[in-house]
Formats: sequence, structure tokens, C-alpha cells
Amino acid sequence: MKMTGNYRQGIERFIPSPAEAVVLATLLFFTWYLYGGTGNDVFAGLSTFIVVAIAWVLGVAIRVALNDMRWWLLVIALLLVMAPWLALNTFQIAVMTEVLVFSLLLHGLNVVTGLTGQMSLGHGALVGLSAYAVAILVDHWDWPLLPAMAAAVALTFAFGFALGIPALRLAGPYLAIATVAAALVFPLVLKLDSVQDYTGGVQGLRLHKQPQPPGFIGGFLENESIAKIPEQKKFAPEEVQVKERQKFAQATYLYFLCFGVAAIGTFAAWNLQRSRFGRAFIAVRDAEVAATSMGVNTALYKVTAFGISALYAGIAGALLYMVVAFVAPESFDLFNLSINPIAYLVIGGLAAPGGAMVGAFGYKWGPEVIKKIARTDTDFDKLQGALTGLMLIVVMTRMPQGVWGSLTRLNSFSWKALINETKAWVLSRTIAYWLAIALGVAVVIAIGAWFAPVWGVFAAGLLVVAPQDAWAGVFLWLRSLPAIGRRRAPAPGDAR
Amino acid sequence: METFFDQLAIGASTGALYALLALALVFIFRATDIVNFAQGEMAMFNTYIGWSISRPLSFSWIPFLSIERHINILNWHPEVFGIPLFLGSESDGSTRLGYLLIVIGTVAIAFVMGGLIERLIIRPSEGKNLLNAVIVTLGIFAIVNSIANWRYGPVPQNYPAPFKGNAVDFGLFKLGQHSLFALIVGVAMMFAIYVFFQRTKLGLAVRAAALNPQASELMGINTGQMLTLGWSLAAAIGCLAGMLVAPSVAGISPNLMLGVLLYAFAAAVLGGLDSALGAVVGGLAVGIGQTMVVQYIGSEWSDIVAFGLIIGILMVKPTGIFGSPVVKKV
Amino acid sequence: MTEASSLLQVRDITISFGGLVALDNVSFGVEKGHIVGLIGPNGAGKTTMFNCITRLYKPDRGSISFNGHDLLSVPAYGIAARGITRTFQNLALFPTMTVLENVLVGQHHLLNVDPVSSSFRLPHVSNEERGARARALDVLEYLGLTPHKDKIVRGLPYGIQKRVETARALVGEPTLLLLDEPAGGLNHEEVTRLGQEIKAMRDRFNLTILLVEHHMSLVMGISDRVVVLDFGKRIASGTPAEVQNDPAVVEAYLGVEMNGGAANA
Repeated sequence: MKMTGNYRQGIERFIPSPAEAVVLATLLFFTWYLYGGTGNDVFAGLSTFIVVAIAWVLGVAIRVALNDMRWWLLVIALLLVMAPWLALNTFQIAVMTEVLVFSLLLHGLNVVTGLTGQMSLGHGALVGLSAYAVAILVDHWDWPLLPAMAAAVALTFAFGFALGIPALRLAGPYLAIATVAAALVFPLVLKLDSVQDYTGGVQGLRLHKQPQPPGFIGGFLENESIAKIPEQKKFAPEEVQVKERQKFAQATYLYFLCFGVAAIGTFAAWNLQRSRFGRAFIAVRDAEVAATSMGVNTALYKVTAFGISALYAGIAGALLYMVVAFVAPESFDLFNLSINPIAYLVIGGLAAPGGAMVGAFGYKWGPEVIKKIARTDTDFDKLQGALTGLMLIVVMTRMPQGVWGSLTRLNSFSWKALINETKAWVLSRTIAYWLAIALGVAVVIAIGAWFAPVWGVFAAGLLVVAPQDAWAGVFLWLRSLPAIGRRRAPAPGDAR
Repeated sequence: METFFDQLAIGASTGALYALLALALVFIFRATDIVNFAQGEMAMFNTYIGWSISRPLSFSWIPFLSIERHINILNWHPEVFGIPLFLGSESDGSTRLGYLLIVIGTVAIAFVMGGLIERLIIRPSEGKNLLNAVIVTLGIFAIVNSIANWRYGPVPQNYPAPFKGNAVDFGLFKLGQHSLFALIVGVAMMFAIYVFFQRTKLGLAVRAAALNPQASELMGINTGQMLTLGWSLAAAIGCLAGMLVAPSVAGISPNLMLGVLLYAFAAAVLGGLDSALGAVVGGLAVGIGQTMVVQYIGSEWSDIVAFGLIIGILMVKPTGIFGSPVVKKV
Repeated sequence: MTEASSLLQVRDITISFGGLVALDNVSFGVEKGHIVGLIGPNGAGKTTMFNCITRLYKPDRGSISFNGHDLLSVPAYGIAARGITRTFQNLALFPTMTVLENVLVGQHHLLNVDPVSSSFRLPHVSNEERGARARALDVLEYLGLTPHKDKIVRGLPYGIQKRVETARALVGEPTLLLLDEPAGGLNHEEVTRLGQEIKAMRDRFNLTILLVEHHMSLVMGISDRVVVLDFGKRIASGTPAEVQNDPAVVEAYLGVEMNGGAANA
């Protein structure tokens, strides 16, 4: 992750780079959408615009002064600190809290999968282990919350370390399958009769006492909450309002607790990555034998990577239980905490702490935004998976470094290069086919008929948009198919 | 004891289906080193296409063709000079010819879709690294699953079966007609696959392309085409498995193949991801094991045993029982 | 020639892979400060020998001692810390890293901060990192790689990648440097220049160099001693002049040009 560089001169330094423009536009659109969507809180929306604008000016000033791209961290930190005030209601604060918790999980996943290249699709089980450990300690043995969380994190850390040892023996795809199996077994074991006394079975376990903000902080936060009381409760009886305030104070307090942990976690993850350990992890992934000859104990590093990622997963799990105050086997289904994290990590950008943050943000807010869009069409909600999948495929095939990776890469790009690249991409034959297929599928979906004649029309459409030699006849075209994106022989330097 | 043999037969029948899907996984793994997590969803979606074909259709949606007739392929009774072309007919009026047509049409569509997926989605992401490819198949998984959920809803739909009569009594055990049919089709498919790969030139070319792409290119084999063929075949086989699974469970639903895929994974891993024989043996073992566990231990244990088995076997033998060891190159 | 004073002492190394004997009772010594060429036709076992010395392979029989210590009891990852680093025949760089980062990995065994203080970038971590960076930049400067230091290795020209590998091996402060076909893919003038550079490198960094190479002119031109392998056996050793006139060597290379421009297969 190279973010420094003397990349612009003179007056140009005051103009946002393409990458910055993209991020700011996204941020603006996002805030506009969330606030605009509610339609009744113009001022809150405006204030966000103002915050973003200030961040921009401040950021550009810092960038000019330091000639450094790291101002983004400042912008992100600023926005995160202000999040409870920017949020419209307590629910949004809770979502932001989960973003922070989730980013910790992604940092951990990044160490084991992004840096070391060991594919784990089973981190949900580690998160669950930690969450359940806290829950059982608190619920069953009446431990206070904090020591219980510490114990759970230590347990998960040790468990992850132990898990890394058998993982050493498994080559990539086998490890992926084994971890999927682990993620699948975990919720099933929780539901077994023999452990129901501890785990609460399908019902799960509830945390009855979330941490309360200590006196003066609580008072401060309650004062801050006045603007956050929902419109319909503004004129409710006093006790309802008090309750709302307390809820806000509580959520904000939890948010800042998680913010502290996430800040430390992100800081540590970033430093670890640019230390000799991060380099050794990547070396193990890129060329194991060469790493060995450079003095890297590859087995130890792989196991350590597992341990570190389990540590992060454990922290995330413990915090998750504290924040949500509830665990049930359903929370740990395959997609929710095992596959989605890795999917969003990849979308955000592997092997970059920024990628984990972006990924966590997308993971929690993507569905919310989709829900908002879906207000008019309830069916659209169901297509959320399709959107995630589409994003995954597009990111994987077109920008393997993920959003963050492309963002930092964009800095060295001129607009002209960007336009040329896009043009070439659109004009390539593969993309023409993509469009044709997409169009065909759209037509079929729109008509709502799935039977053979439609597919015939679809196939005919494919012929129409086929490259020029299609006119020489179907068979010629079929014969030309293999030429599209013929399999590339791997270059000597390619990582596997 | 009778229940034991009954269960054994049922297990073998389910196992044959697991083996089919596991074979599809093995194909793709051997051809492209990709673990195709979307295999089950592809099969599910294609099965839905088969279901759509089997529905009574109305052409009236084409405005300029306004054919008001409703066509139901299942209830198609073709005649030549007044003589019925095909006699097999179920009590509900559906014919086996209709079913056969649906199967052929669906498998053909699956074949094309498998190839298209390889060409348009897998190939651009190939050669980067393993993680990319797996993520892409997860992406396909998510897309297909959610489109199916969106179009067809989560409620299971009835799925046509060619044989739905009483169980056949073999003396030692009884087996439902559909299970028997699935078992026969499964075994026949395995045999066909064996013949294709071991006895035909095309099969040899596919194997060669998977084993050593560079050398195969030099021998004049179009490896790109072979990979596409591998995906097409895998999709077609998976689709067949899906069409056999659907009637034996509550019917077709978007989560139809999720469980089956996981058992197929167990089977493939049990046998070794790169071993076709392993997939067959693994499939039967997992199928029989599952029914036995359900029968004698309890249904809540069946999944735990299956996934525990995956983990346990990999711990003992990291590439499965029949899998070839991973060679570490210096 | 196998006096006990040798820096590296290889005795009776035998290794076979499923029936194929790759090295058969090979012994030789490398004197401190020498450049020793290890040559032989393709498949003679030269790279296998390197892999035995760096412990990537475990020989069936024999012993290897370095500086008087037994090397075979050292794990593969401990070799670099003993003062032996190497390059690889078919490039084994870390393709997704920059040139500088690659060279920093070469210093892995020289750094010893713990992960916890690394995570919080405590002052001593920064200090160590700064030192490592300075050393890496020195070596890059020495090998003329400074203009490439921030480029991702994948995609750099082959010749540059080769140099990066040398830099990565050199930065680990080795006593013994193993170079596996450093001249692969170079043209005639570049090979001549490389010979000069290797000699200069030895003098500047006080190295002992063991060299596997196909370019006879290069090996004969710079080596103090030459060891010839054929089908896993040592068939000759001595000064370049002695070896060139050895009938066994001439026979092994029959039909292969001995001087200059040899095939770099």
C-alpha cells in the first residue's frame, strides 16, 4: 500500500485526484441517499454535506502540506468520530457499531487470507466461539462481562493457534472446504440436546446487562441526544423521551467503546503489515521456498497468521455479543459471518487495512441502502445476493486489488489513461458478450417467462451481436468462440 | 434387519446422486484447479428451468402471435396416423415422453449455460490466484441463489417424476420407484462418464488439457475449448442430479441443492478432489452413511457427522483417500 | 583439496528421488574467499546440490559442514542466519511486492523485533526498520536498482528480476553466496560484465561464492576452482585450466561447445 508520492505539482495539488473525487462522490451520494431517503431531516443531511466539505478542504490542505495521501485516514477517522451525531437515529448508530466490529474481523481475515494466502471460509465459527464463550461465562457462571470477554478472546486466540497446525497440512482448496465444513458444523453443534443447557439451543442466549455509560459521560450523551429522538416521539410523554435518550446514550457509548478497540486494532493491523512480519506473511504466500531460504520459518508464520486472525475474530465475536446482546445459532450460518466477510474483504481490497474498512462499511451498509432502494419494489430486496455476487465477480475479474487497491492505484493514473482503458474495455469482444448476455437475461426476466422459446430468442440475439464472422454462419462463429480470451499461459512470475 | 437393507438401498440411491454432483466437482477441479462452490446452485437453477418447461405454457404473451393454446409438454400425447407414439402414461395424464423431452431440453440448456459461465465469468478471472477463482464461484452462487429466490420464491414446487408408483420389493429390501430410477440413472451416468473419459478421443483430450495445458496445446489440442467442455459437462451432470433430487425431497426450492452440494463436497473430499473413482466411492459412502446415521443415531447428527467426516479425513489424509498428494516444487 | 579449513565442506552427499540417484557420493570443499564454479550438463545435479546445502532437500547420506558446524542439523529457515543465502534458477521472487520490499525480506533473519511491539511500532521497531531500509537501499544502489525500487516485481524485465534476486541474497549479509545460473537470459556483453560484477561483489562484501552456471566462459573466467558434476557424480575438480583439460570432462561435454556462448538451456 503505497500512498505517498510526489505525484502532482503546482496548482494541480489543490484539485482532488480522480481517486479522491470518486471517494468523495460516493460519500456524498451515500449520505444524500440516507438522509434524502428519510425526507424529513434536511438539516441533518445538510450538516453531513458540511462535514464532508470541511473534511475535504482540511484533507487537501494536509495533503498539500505533507504531500501525502495519508490524509484519507484523517478524513475517515473524523467521520467515524462524528458518526453518532451524523446518524439519524439509534439504529444507525448500532449499524455503525457493527461496522467497526466487523472491520476487526476483516483485519484478522486479511492476515490469514490476504497476506498469508491461506483461504479460510470458516471464520464465522471463530467469531461464534468467542461470542458464545462470553455468553456462557456471563449467563451460566455469572462472570462479569469484561473478564468474560477477555477470557473468550484468549480462548479463541489459543484455539486459532491450535487450528493453524492441522491447517498446515492442507493445500488451498482442501483448506477452503475444511473451513467451510467447520463453519457449517458450528451452529449445528450448538443445537445439540447435550449442550443446550449451556448454549440455549435454537433460542440462543441474551445479554441482560449491556455496559452502561458511567455517570458524567451518560449525562453528556443524553444531552446530545435531543436531536435524535424520532419525530413521532417528540411529543410523547416525558418518560418515553427519557427512555429514548438513554437508548441513544447507551448506543453511543457502545459505539465509542468499539471505536476505541477498532482504532487500536486497525493501527496494529496496519503496523504489523508493514513490519517484518507482514513482509514475511506475504513472502510465504508469494513464494514459500524462497521465503524459507530467506530465513522465514514458514510453518510458524502460517500458524501465527491463524492465531492473529483468531485473535481478531475473537475480539470481534466478544464485541458483537456485547453490542447485539444476543447470540443464536442462526447468526452463524455459512453466509452471514463466514462467506460474506471474505467476499466483502475481497471487494474492499485484500492485503490492505483500508480494504478491510471499506469492506466492513459495504457489508453493513450495502443491505441498508438496498433496502431503501427497495422501498417501492419489495421483490428487489431479494436481489441483494445477486448484487453482492455481481460485485464480487466484477471486482475479481476487473479489479483484483479491490476497491481500496484500485483507489490507491488510481493516483498514478491520468484521466486520459482512465478513459482509454475504459474504452478499450468496453470495446473488447468479451464485454460485448457480457452486455448481450445481460440484456438477454434482463429481457427474459422482464417477460417473466422461462421456457424454451425465450431461450431460443436469447440465442438468436447472441448471434446478432456476435462478432463479424457470425455472418459467415453459425458454425464459423462457433468455431471462432475459443479465440475469445484464449487461456493465457501462466507467466513465470505469476503467483498461484 | 429389513429396515437395515431398506436403508442401505435408499442410501445407495441418494449416494449415487451425491456421487454425480461430486463427479461434476471433480471434473471442474481437475480441469481448472477450481473448487466450484456454485455447482449446486447451477444445478438448482437448471432444474428450475426444467420445471418451467414442464409447466403448462401459454404463448399469448407474444402480442403479434396471440396463440391462445396452452401447451403442456408433460401431457403431450403425440400420435402418428392415430396411433399413440408413446404409451407410458401416468394417472395424472403426464407421459414419460414428455418427461424425457424436458430432461433433454434442460440438460441441453445446462450444457450451454455451463460453457457460457466458464467463458464469460471463470476465464477472465483465471490464472490470477486460487482465491480469486473461489470467490468468483461464490459470486455465482450468490447471484443464482438470489435470482431463484426472487423469481420463484422460497416455497417448494412440485417436480415431475417419471416413475411414482409403489415401492418395488426385491425380497431383501424394498425401494421406491423413484429412488430405483435415480440409482439406475446415476450408475448409468457414471458408466457413461467412464466410457467418455477412458474410451473416447475427446475424453482423452479433455484429460490431457487438464493434466498439462502447455503440452496439450503443442499436441494440437485446443485447451480453451476443452475447459469449456469440462464446465459444460459438469453443469449438465449437476443438472441431471438436480432433476433427480427434486422429486425425492419436498420439491424444488432455491435451497434444493445446498444440502446436496455439501454432501457432494464431503464425498469429493472423502475420495480426493482430483479422483473420479474417489468421488463415486465417496458419494456412495456418504449417502449410505447419512441414511444410517439418520436411522440409528438421529437426524440432527447427520450433518454434523458429514462435516466432521470432511474435517477428520483431511486431518488424517490431507488430499482425501484417493487423491494424489500435492507435490511441493522447489 | 578437502582440507578441514574449508569454509564449506560437502562430504559424500547422496540423494535419490524414487530410484533416480540425483547425487552420488559427491564431495567437495569451498575455500573462504574463493569463487567456485559448479558445472555439469543438464540434469547433472547442480541445483539439487544447492537445495541440499540450503536444506530444502534432505540428503540420504553424507554430511555438509559450514564454518565447522554441521549444516544438516539446521532447519531450512535457519540457513540464512548461518550466513548462506542464495538465488534461484527460475526466479523465486515475491511477485506482488516491490523491489525494495523483496530486498527487505532478504534481511528477515537480521531483524528480531517481536510481533507485539511491531504492531504498535514502538521506537526500537522504527529504528530497526530504518536501519534495514538503509541497508536495502545501499545494496540496491550498489546493483544499480535504485530507479526500480518502488516498482512491483511482477512485470519487470527478466534481467532486472535476476538482479533483484541477487540484491535480496546479498542484503542478508552472507558469508557464502550461492548463485544459481546468474547469467541465464543474458547476452554476451552482459555476461562479460556480470563476471566482473561477481568478482567485485566478492571483494566488496568479503564473500565466498558458489556458482552454478552454463556459460563456460563466465565460469572459467572468474572461478578459482571448478567442480564438475555429471549424472550426480563428481567427475573432476580443480582450477579452471586443469578441469578444461580433463578427459572425463571433455567426454561429458562431448559435442557441447566449451568456450563462450554455450546454450543456456
